[in-house]
Amino acid sequence: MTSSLQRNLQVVREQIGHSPDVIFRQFSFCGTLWKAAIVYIDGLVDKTALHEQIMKPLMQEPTAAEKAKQLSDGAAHIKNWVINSGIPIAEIKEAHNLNDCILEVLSGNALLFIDGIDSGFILGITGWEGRSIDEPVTESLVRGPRDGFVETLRNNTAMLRRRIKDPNFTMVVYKVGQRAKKDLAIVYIKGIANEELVAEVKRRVERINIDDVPESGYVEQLIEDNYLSPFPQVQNTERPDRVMSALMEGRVALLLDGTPFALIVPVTFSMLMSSPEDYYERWLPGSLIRAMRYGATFTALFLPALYISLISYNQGLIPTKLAISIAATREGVPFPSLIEALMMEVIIEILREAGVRLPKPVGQAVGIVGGLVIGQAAVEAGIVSPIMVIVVALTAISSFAFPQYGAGIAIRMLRFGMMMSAAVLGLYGVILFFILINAHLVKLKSFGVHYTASFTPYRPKDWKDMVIRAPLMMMKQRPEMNKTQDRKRQ
Amino acid sequence: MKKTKRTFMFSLLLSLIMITGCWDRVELEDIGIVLGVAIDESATKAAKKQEKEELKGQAKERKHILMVHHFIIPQEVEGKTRTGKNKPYSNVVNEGETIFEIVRELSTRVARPPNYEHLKVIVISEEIARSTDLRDIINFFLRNPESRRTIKMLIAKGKARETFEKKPPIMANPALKMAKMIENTKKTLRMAPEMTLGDMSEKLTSETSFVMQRVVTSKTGTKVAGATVINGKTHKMVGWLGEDEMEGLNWMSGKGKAGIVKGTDQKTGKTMVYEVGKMRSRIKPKVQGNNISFTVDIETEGSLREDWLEPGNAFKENLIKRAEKAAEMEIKRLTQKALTKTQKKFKVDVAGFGKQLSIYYPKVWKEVKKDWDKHFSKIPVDINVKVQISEFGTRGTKM
Repeated sequence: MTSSLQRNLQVVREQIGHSPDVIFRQFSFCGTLWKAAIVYIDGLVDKTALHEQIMKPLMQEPTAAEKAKQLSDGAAHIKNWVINSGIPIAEIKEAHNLNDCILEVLSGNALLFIDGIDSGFILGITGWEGRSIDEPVTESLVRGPRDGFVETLRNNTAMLRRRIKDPNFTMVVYKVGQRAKKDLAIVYIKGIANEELVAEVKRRVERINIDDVPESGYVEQLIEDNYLSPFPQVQNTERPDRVMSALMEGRVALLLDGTPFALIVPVTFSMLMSSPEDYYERWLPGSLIRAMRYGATFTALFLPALYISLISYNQGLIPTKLAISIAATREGVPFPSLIEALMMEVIIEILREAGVRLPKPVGQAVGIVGGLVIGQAAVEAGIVSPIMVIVVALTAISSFAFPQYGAGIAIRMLRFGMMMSAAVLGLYGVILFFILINAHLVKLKSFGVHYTASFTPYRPKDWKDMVIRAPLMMMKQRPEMNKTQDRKRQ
Repeated sequence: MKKTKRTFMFSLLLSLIMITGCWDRVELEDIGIVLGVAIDESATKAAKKQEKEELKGQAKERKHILMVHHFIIPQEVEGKTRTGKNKPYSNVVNEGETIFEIVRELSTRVARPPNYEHLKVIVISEEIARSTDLRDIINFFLRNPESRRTIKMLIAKGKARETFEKKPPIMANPALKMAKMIENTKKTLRMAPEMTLGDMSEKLTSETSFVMQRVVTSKTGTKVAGATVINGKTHKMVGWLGEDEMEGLNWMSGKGKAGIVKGTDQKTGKTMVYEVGKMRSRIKPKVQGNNISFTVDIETEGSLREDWLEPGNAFKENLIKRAEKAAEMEIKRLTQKALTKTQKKFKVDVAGFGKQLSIYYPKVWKEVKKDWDKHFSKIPVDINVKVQISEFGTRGTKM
């Protein structure tokens, strides 16, 4: 960086001046002969602040004494004046590297050059239009806070700050993406979170080498342990309260600028099965609902496979009367049970996909048409049996019972594998596949914590918050699996 | 190199699954669900003729078995095509020398292979039970992995196949009806205890005599009551127990769960009906030198449910006492009757006297074990009955 204003401006112009939204404004400093220039990007700065707090004092005629000082002391005085008294804004910083300056401009700050001074002043007046805080769409609760994260990182960190006044609340910000350079904040509570875990998260984040991270899903995929596993090894959430309670358990959260989805690591299977509401409700309903969710998981995973194996192989296990009535309804069905089940399951998946992507009113119409086609017409046409419709409907409803969309997808995928093995080996195949899933699960780790913790490794103390949710006064310790520095909850 | 080896192993494993799988897949609607099986002696002329010839040639008796498979027709039970006119079941009859032979011959007659996983009852006819070793009859079902050991076993008076031919009242299917009826031992003392395929095989193997439920088909329908006595030594049927005698036997063995006793009041000669709440019987063996004797203590507690007395006021202690006495006498009479028939006429022990002896006097038991039924027929048995009526329903008086 040189002391020549024109030279500096030229460099900046060469780098970013080719776009019309980059504004270069040259003016004479305080009505003197000194030239100055301000550079900012239109739309990323708060215009009122720019006009009132920056341009106004910079262009005002100074007092006589001040003017004399400027003339006598020159650059040194002006520098001092700008930083210490001239411009009434909170964030102001001197930069000596032109590249840094450019990055700051691109981040939404204004840059001030003054002729004769070999440094630039970065004025923090970022301000742009963003979405206001809304209720999270993907994780709605009956009882609980209604605010969800938004796309702006600052707002999100502020939401967390508002929930905790602990000085140990720590935030480390990284720039990720070689070109996009997005802010990624690693958030944890010093003194609770295991230091090795924090170091590991930092290590993995530093290793990210990619042009751009449009969403935290990119980060998730780049830092997860096993990319072949169907199970998500990083939890994502839109809820600040969820992040907060994870931090209190000694976990680490990652917040990325530009997305409302925060990431939580390490994650366990039982975490994916829980909802913040389990804790907000009293423990009895909380526990029952959670246990029911486990039941729904089993239904979503096994039901079609059980149907196939019972119909095609193990007919003796169906109660006689049910067997007779199923046999009667299946009489006209031309397909074996596997084809029947596959067909219906695929149709349901297509319907669901169509319903998700379409605009809301159209999506509802798709649901109705699809439901009618599947429920009524298919049975009447004799393509599937009514029992199959019940099986498919139950499975679909059960797979909606997941509090986490990502975990639901894993189960939905595995369901098809389960159906295939049921079709090949009957109930025996179902059990084999289940063993396979279990073998994979116990081996899987998320940031050094076993995915099936604390069933394996065996830590009965943690069982108070797994399938059931024990009363709060019984959960006096943080989960053992996270190896927290501070074991006791106050 | 290593990679190709791995791929090879993987495809080998995959083929293991793909090749072996599916071989026994058959859809539920394509199997013939057999709910009941009846086993009769063949009565056709051809069979009789063949039998005679064989007897001449080999001097060896060969039975011809007639087997009835009671298939359910699911569409007629429920479903869209149900007309209500046709029977929801069909009995397929075929015969042969062995059970398995008959079962396999069945494939030439029906399109759907028989499936025994839902088999509920097996009815064996009197003729077969009297003439054939029952172990041979049930052997196929014991070996067959499809048939459960909980299949209920019945002996039919007359032709076994008739039991599946009458459309029963209330329920739609004869086999299901029978399976349900057998469980009614909870309600009456007139039925022998349930006998399952597994239990039967156990008894036959241990050579103990036992009773089985009897089914009688008449014009009005089928009835499960009374019992068939099977000799453990010969593995053949020796005779019937009537309903009264069965009641007595149930009292003796203490296996009954509930039932009624119709006693006669000594003073007036009128009837009083006692309902059993609890019953317990204890068989006590006694050995003095070479003499073995038994005492049966029957204790029961229940309620007075009906009386034909005038005025019949249950608030009077005396009436309860009289009712107790009446019930005691009746129970004693029934028990005596059952004992006389089984012990003296059939010469078998079906109430478990032998078992008690083996518990109390194992040494003595060892000696008599071999010809126990023969020994038993000469052993004196004392019967003591004690009835206690603890309630009389919601109304003590008649008016």
